[in-house]
Amino acid sequence: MLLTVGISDMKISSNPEDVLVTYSLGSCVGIAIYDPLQKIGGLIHCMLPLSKVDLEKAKDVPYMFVDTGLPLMLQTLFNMGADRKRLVAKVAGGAVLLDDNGMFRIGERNHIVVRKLLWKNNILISSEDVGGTLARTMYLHIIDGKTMIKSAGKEYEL
Amino acid sequence: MNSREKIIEKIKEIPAFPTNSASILNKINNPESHILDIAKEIETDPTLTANVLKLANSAYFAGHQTISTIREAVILLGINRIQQLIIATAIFPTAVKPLQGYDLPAGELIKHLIGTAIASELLGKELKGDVPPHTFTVGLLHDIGKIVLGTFIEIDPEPIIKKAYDERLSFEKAEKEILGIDHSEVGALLMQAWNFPNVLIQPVLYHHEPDKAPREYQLVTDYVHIASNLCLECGIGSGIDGLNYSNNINSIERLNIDMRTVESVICKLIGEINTFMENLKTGDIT
Repeated sequence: MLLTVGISDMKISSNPEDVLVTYSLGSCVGIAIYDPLQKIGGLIHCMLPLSKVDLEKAKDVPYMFVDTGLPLMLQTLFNMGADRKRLVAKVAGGAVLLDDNGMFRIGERNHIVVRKLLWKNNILISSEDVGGTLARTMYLHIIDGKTMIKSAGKEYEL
Repeated sequence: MNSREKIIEKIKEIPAFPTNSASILNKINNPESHILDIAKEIETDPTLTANVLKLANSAYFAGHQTISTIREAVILLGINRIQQLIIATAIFPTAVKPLQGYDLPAGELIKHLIGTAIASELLGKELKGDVPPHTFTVGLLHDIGKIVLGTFIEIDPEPIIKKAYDERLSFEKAEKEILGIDHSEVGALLMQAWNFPNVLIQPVLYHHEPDKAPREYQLVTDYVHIASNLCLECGIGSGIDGLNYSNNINSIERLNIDMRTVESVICKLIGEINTFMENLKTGDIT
């Protein structure tokens, strides 16, 4: 089944028939994490890097922020039997405006916080497709962990 | 005829703005009109009445109250909100359709228009600034030119994209180079054909070049310029043009926006769009 991960949302599945998808990643980041032995995977769509901008919001919608959403996804994966040592992480999104005049750089900052957090958790990013000015759609196939990106009419494996 | 002339010719063939809505909008903009007369006129059109009430009852406008008549809507929400609702209902049936030329699936453009309208108000609130009442309406209309280029003309986006990426041009500049006209100007021309007032036309025309907007329309133009880019960053209605637009440094300075403001707006944006859209499904507003 195709399961949609909305904006500021996260889904985990261990059903080999499931494909997780998140649409229209602009500056937001999508992170797919998969355990190839347990065949369990999660996909998250975060809008902003740090929850300190609105702590109340972070309580209601933890997946809005990388620093609250990503640890929660990892914890859920561990609780379901995923093993940190086996986890494969793939990252997409973090696009930037053609010229945002150095003001917001949300995409770049999202990417930096994802890298930091995964590094702290001893999880390597096996591949990523970030930056640029294109919006992306990201798919995670639970059966084999295959991660696909669709962007500007093209589709490719990450 | 070159493609600019062909496109301008085509604008004339586009269906008129619903006559009844246009006449009501004119009355709203006429300071001599009485609001209860305007309410009465809306009530003579059952479809418009149903549509306006449906939107008026979204939590974004009504909060927890229930609004059951146009008269109540006019009194509780104010005449500016009624104008915004009439325009939203008028563009909804077209703006909800897929936009081939920009690779936008059904429902995405309308989400971008509503998102931009809401984000411009949120920005104003966050900055504790003065938000002119036309700001929301301009947000709803700013990309209306994309409907003309993306559906009525069905432009081939390939050469535009190629030009934009090869030369690192923002998308509207590439449009102008390839077609001789960009979606901002097409939108403004369409609104002119619909006899819309300048307070709405000028900010639409300059929403990618706010420095060029006449001074009296610059504040609205700045809000909508930044709000539209924010929505694209959040993936709200970004099609094949993606994030291939630029933030104007002078707009940022004029509004005095910093990163924190932007992030606070983004935090609230999706929730607010959902409160606006919750009553709306494709085909709901006819």
